[in-house]
Amino acid sequence: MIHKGIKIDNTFAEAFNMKASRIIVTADNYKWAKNACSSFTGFATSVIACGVEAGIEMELKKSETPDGRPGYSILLFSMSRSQLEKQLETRVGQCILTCPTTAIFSGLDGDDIIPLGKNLRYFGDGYQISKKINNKRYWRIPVMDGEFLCEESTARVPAIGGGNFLVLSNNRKSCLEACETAIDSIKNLPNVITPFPGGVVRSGSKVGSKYKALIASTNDAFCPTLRSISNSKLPQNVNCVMEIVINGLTFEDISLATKTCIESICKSKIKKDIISISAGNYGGKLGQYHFHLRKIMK
Amino acid sequence: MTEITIKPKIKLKYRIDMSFLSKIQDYKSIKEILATKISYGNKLVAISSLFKITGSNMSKVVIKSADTSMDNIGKGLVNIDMTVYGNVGFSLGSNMISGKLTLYGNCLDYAASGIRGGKIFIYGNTGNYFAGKPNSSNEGILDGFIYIKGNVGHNSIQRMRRGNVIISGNIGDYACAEMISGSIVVMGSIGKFFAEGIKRGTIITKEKKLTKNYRIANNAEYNFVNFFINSVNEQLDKNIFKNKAIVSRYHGHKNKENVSEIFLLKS
Repeated sequence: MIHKGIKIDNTFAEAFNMKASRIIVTADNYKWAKNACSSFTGFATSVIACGVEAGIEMELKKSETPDGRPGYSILLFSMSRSQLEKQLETRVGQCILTCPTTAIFSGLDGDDIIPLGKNLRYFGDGYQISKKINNKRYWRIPVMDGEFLCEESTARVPAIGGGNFLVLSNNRKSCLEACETAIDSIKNLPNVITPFPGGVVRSGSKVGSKYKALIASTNDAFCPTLRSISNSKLPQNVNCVMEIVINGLTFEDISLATKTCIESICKSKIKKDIISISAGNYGGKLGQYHFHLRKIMK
Repeated sequence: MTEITIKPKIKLKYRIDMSFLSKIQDYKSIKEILATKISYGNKLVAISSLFKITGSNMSKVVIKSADTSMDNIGKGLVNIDMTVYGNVGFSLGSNMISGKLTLYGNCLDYAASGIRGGKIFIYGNTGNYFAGKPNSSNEGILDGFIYIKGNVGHNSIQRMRRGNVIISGNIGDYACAEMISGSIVVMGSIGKFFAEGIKRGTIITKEKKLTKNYRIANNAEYNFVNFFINSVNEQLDKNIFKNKAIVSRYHGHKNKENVSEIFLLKS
């Protein structure tokens, strides 16, 4: 299939059931809200070693936040409830509580509740104050710049992690530029995040390794440097491959994000250097969700 | 489905317990409601002889031409949106659990007493013992949001444990006695003996006299205040704090057991 001049491979992305939560971080200005969010979402690229996958979902205007200050929403994804709880608490405690002027709120409603500021309140050493507004409990924790306001809990919802597509290009510069264009196009798309640095992954992985201790290793089929010595899936003219991993709350959210990304590449000037768009999967045996690229782009 | 509309058929001579309206969702039809008997004077009479009831949506109720002889309107209300036009009697919305109760008029004593949740908007004045402990219990309000556009009588908001009470007008004497926690905003003046025996809680007011026995706190940024004001304005759909910036916070009382705080508004 050729879509607006770019070949779309007949393949699919394989994604997994995950659990997700959304939080809203506000501060006196965007600079400090971003500082807190960047810190919070740092080292949260893959559940393989980070415990959680997290990213900034979108920028929120003053009118869109609970306390009328500028902020960002963050989505977190994890394979288990306990890991999500643990990572959320640790990261809020170390990255949001510590960041000047910030406050944190739940961004999701639901019956499956997980703690947000519930245990963090003890940092107040007995000086913390509880407030209940609109059936939600908040904690005011005294800190050196005034007070840290945090909602007691947030909700956890079923979600999908691992939606992806690969950009196959004949040079690294164009490949990166195409990926940047794609990430920019979904910057403010709700319900999805791209957890890797800048939204782009260069070290796509396969399951297993020749070394027993490793559960994942380099995806040699898509490494251009191994084309001559491995079972490569790359044609001769592909010299660089980069992946965009998309986590979302629903199948439709990820499909829409994938489509938006690919469309933006197809519309960009750089498309002449893009050989094809492919996707990463494990033969369809591991993941519960399959995102067929050609179906999505129809 | 149209909302349930209730209107008195006759001029009411005796007091009526209107709490049957809070259980309206238990009835299968309007006919069943109309056939139900309630006390009227020293007799039991069918509701149909006192009220005209129309509509079918049991989760939305409108009372028109209400009268001060109607007591217990919205008592123990659960998940019903009730709107009342006219002045009403005692115990409006007492022991309310959830839902929304709006009154366009005044009410007598014990309004909003012992509520555990829900929202009450009173666009008028209330009598004494407002938002306090009901006659049947020693517990004040446990949660909920209450807004009063007018003035509030004496002995109000006693033993409040949680919740948010916003009063645009004045409040009488002995208010907030033995308050345990919660948040109160009084935009008007406050009577004598305010907050006697208070333990915790937040009071936002312009009355400087209340701060007499408190220590002034530093002029730090309180994230909570903006959030609270935002939340109140959102629920009321208007900015009642316009030109009323917070001037200072008082926290720390002569009585060490009192850890309540007062935010002083610009008068």
